[in-house]
Amino acid sequence: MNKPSSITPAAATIERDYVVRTLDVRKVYHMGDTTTHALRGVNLDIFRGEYMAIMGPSGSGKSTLFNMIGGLDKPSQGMVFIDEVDIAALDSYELAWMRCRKIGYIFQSYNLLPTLTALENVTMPMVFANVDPDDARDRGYDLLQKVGIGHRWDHRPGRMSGGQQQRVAIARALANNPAIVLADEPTANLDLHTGADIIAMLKQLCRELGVTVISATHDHKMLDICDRVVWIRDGLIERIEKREDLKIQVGSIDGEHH
Amino acid sequence: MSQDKAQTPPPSQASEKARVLEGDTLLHELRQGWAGLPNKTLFSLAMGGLRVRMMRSTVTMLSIVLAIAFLTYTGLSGSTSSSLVRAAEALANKAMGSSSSGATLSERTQRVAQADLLGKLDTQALKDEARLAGLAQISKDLNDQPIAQRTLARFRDDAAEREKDFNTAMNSSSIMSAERNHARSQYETAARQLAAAQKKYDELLTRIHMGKWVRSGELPADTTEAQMESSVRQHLQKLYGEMVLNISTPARLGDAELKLLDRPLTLGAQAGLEEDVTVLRDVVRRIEAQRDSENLLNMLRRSGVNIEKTLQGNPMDIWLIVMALMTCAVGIANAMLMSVTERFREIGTMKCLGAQDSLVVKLFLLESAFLGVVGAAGGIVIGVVVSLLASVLQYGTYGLTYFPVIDAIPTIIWSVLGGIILSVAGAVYPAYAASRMKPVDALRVDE
Repeated sequence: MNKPSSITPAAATIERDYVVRTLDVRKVYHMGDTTTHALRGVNLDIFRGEYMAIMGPSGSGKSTLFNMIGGLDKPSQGMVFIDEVDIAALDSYELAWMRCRKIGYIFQSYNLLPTLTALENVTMPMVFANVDPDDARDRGYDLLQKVGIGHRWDHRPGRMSGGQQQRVAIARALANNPAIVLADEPTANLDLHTGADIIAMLKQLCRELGVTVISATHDHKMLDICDRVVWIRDGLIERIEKREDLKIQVGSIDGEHH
Repeated sequence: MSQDKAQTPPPSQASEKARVLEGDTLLHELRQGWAGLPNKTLFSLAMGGLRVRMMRSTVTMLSIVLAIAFLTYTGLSGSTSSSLVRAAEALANKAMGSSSSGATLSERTQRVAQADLLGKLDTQALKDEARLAGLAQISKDLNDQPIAQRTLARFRDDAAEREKDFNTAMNSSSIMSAERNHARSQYETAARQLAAAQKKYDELLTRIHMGKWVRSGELPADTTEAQMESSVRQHLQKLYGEMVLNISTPARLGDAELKLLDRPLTLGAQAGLEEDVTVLRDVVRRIEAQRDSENLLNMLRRSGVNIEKTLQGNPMDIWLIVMALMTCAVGIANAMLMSVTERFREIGTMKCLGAQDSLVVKLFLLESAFLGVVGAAGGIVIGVVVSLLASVLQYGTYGLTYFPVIDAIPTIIWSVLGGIILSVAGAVYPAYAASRMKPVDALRVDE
């Protein structure tokens, strides 16, 4: 979706369309006297419609990269292109627009607004995008049906289980037809079975809608279905693996665990 | 392939430039993409927040209500005492009105007192007049009657004894003339006392008879209707005449008599003494004003009001209002600060989903303004009721009569404005800080 109508000659040579590109991204945090290099030059291209997992130990810079791709943070050096827009060039107003229209977020702890019903939570991004309220309501209800909790549209998050809340969060992430869905450990707070359901649903929905999913995760179930896995260590990309290569590894890891 | 991708160096500067330019068309779109958020939605978001956080909103609102009630009460109690002092001053000024011209006051009172005020009244009108003058209230007289009777009997016995003593003293030749004189004076005193008691008893009896006649037309055994009517007429004429004459020496008039003066004056006006009556009415009004003013000032002094300072704006009152204002400001700012800081995560989420900074600020300001309006309204109702009660408790009916209604309006307006301004001002900084937070940082709170 949202495929640019005119492709520049440089872009035409590449056979697949990139939705996110990072060019030598570096991020430095200053905390008092100590300087932390969270990212030390990351080059990463993510294809449109891809399902990508970002893995790495905590403190590896995984979250920093993740936030950068999500337009929540700006790099100290280097460029991040989201849908061919350099986010470093955007002011906060345009970044908000970008987050609203181009990016959907799924959080580890759901982060639904407790004051709103499921439907209102889903329509909120559409409200920010100035969609007609009636259309927003219809679309929100459709999305809730799709994630399988249409019957609970008027429940508040406090009265839902974790799995149900995460489903609402998925519907909310998809509200404005984003190009990218960012899922930050979406299954970490869920039990094994519910987590598997959520992952399957995410995969299926994103394939249907042609959305790129980028997920930070420790969950090996997730690795099973993603197209590529990026391993981050010490602020650098350690390796990028395709699923075909990965399956053997995952099997062996699972074998060790069970 | 992707393995290779990661290792390939960044594309050349030229191709990068082209890509950025292509992105610029999108950027252009971005800049035009935002339209204002519909206010209705903003409102429902803010109200939804208040509704769901009912408990906390109520507590915040209560703190505003109490603060504004305190502010209103402080403001009103200050203006109540100053209004009372001003009322006393106004009454005193009224008492010093222009003196009458032409005939002197005593001439006029003489004329009214001696006029035949009751001549035109028929029996029924006379009865009504007597009822107005209090003749029909005979219960006290009926209570006094047995006591008066006993007193009379005692004086009678006493007088009889003295008479006997005197007679023996007169008949005995051995007694000294000094003793004889003593017995005579004793006898005379007793006789005088008896006569006075008899007169008093007769008057009492007459009053009772007149009262009974006025009430139910009941007549004593040996009188006629006409006799009764004329005695009532005489009684009223005497009563009214004395009252009118006493205008020039107001200290002799009790409060009840002062009120009753209206009757003879009305009758006097009907009898054609309008000019005199107008002057006398003015005098009566001035006497009343003087009395009210004195009563009011005495009461204010009793309840510890500093009369001189109150009129110039008592520094104590101003200090109290400033303190109330500061308490309000701190309380409301604290409540708003709490309600914003505990929602950092929500703010972060909303910002992640594309909410503008201005939206976050607007949302909180709307919420706090709503709390401010409702809280101020409640606070004013409570404040006014409390200060009314306090003023009645402190100053009695004067507190109600001279309650500063006009002065209360600016106080109320200032309190409402104060409530809204303070609650919005208290929310401005936290809301601004929250809106300026990076979404990442806002999300990290509480996690």
